[in-house]
Amino acid sequence: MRQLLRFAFLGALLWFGSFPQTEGITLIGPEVVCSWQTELCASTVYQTATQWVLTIICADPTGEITDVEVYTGTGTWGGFCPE
Amino acid sequence: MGWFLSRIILTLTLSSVLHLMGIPEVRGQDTLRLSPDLILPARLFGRAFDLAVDRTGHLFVSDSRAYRIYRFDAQGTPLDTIGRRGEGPGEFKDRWIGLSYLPATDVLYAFEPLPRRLHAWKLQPNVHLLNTHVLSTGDIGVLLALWAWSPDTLILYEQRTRLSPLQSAYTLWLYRWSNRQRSLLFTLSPPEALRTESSVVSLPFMPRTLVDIHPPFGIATLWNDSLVVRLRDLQGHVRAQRRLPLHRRVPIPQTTWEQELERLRRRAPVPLRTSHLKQLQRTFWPYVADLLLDDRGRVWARLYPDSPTWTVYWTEGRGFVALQGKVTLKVIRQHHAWGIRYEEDGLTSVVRFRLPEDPN
Repeated sequence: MRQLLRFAFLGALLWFGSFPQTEGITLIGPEVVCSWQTELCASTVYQTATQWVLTIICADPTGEITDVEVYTGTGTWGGFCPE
Repeated sequence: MGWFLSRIILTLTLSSVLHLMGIPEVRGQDTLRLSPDLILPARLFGRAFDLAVDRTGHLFVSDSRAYRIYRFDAQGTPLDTIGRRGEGPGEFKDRWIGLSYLPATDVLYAFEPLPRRLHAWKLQPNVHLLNTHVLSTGDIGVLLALWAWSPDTLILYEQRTRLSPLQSAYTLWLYRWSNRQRSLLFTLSPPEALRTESSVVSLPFMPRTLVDIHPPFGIATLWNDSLVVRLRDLQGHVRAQRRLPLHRRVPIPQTTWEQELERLRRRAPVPLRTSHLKQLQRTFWPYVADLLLDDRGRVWARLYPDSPTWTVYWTEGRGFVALQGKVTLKVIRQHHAWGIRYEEDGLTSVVRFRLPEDPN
């Protein structure tokens, strides 16, 4: 009986442990913390479970998007968020 | 970069601009020079962003300050407006509004790059909204462009950011309007970028892939540091290619590089790591800033640098064409080219050029 319980415990451990944690993060998806736009640039801050992401997209005066900037950091976004 | 160029180019003539680009017809006698035959003046717009022309000749101009689309008749008389600022169907959250028109169905499409929203209006007998779609927003990305390909089918050009490792993917998608399903066409090379472990930065002067699509001719792509335009089918197979007759390449000046880094520092709201963004050693001025296919499937390439008084295009069959003013063409069909003209003071007007009979 003790042997059976040991197998059951190990089995449960393996079964729960088989869930890849990173997939859980992916499923939650990045949440938009804030975004702001000027005439030629648009900035958006995203937050995942483990990191923040700042994207800055700029169009040239002709309307073509020419700047794409992505910055990341660990933890929670602690930077500037207008309004 | 703009300041640097304007200081250099302010006094350049068309001939000297051509010379700077290494164009063989330096003397200018072989370059077709065109002035607009129709001007929709800047006072009509806050800032013209994109335009489309329907089969009746009506002109649609999106305005990034007014959050709407203006409609004009073929003579440039204002008719009415489409959309307004808002978050409902047919309303715009984003000040950038791109346009595409499909003659076969007489439908005007508009897209908003950042919220990744698509709108469709049937234009006849009266303009009415068909629907507004929101693309999935479960990731980090931007809709760079949209083309109407056939009834019910759009082509989307999208940038998506992937985390760990940090990278950007640039992909073309087929999008079925009726069932909102998308399928991958193919992936394009991402722009050259400054990379650290925690940042990817692509700046305007860095080489990148330019794309234009015109049914039924296909997809034109150009890695603008290569000067070779490839025409692909929807499977991504290269069916033809054109080599642009440009020769000179110039490295980025140190002053331009420093100005770009300073611009980065000012714009970003976090203490960014620009101090260890080292200047790329192999970056050259992209000589093509924009790519366009006309209604016969011919390539038009806007060359760079330009000047405040002339914009130079290279086009198949016609060679070099110089347009009066700082102009980006948006639509070329039936012997007319429509574009947006940018003034030194930041104002924008819409211009039309009549193209002479095709020599070929």
